[in-house]
Amino acid sequence: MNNGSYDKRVEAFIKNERSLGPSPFMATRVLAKLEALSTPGTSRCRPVWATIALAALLTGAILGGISLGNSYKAAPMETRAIVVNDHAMENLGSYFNLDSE
Amino acid sequence: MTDTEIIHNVLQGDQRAYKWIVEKYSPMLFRVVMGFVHNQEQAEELVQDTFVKAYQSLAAFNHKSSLSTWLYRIAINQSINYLRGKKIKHFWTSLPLGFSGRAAGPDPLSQMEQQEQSHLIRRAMDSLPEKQRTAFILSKYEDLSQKEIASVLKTSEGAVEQLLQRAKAGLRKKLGKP
Repeated sequence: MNNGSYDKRVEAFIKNERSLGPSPFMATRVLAKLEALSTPGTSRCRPVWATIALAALLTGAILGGISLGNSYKAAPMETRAIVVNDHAMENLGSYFNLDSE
Repeated sequence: MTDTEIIHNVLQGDQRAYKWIVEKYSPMLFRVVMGFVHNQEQAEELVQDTFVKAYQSLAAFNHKSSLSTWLYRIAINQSINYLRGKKIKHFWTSLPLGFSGRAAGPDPLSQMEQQEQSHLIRRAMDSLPEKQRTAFILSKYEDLSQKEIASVLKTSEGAVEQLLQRAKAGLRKKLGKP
């Protein structure tokens, strides 16, 4: 594309985009949006105190979980030895050792 | 009624007075935003957001510059932030009323060629550095003088002249490549 052709193409492109206009309802839409923003209860923004309260609640829950976890103490092991007489116990190995039959 | 009087009325609580400002300035803001986004629907959304933001900041408007200059700045910032945030790729494909659609002849081949040409021009414009692109858009889409562009960009006329020259050279270079 030489310079002359470039200029013509770019000018034509810009001319075409310039020919477009905004919606005739633009002003109505803007005013409707402004009214929606100024009407109490319609704001999509969460108030700051709610954000802080939510953050505090979550932090409390996490810290509570951690402290609960840390406070756990396992039951002490019995130091006394358990003496089991397994003499009368059935030898289960004899059921699995089928090759010897 | 002057802009200053209208602004005064709006600040006094007359929200309806703002309609006059929107009707007066929306066409020019729309053209500028179109230069950035090349999409009619998106341009309308951004212009709408510009007016909402301007309304919310109207009390901070200090009358040092004209209302149009102030609105241009907000619209340009909105457009640049939108493009930065979205990083839209191939947005030209969704253009319903594009250059190709109107200028195309009945021949499908020439239609395709013109479509391709539009894509190249958009891509070349969008790849310009922000300041060059802004100066180019204000000059070509709004026919603003270098003095007015300098006022919008808060720079000197000499700097604007350089920006425009570089923008044109950049476009020529980019579009000159096959």
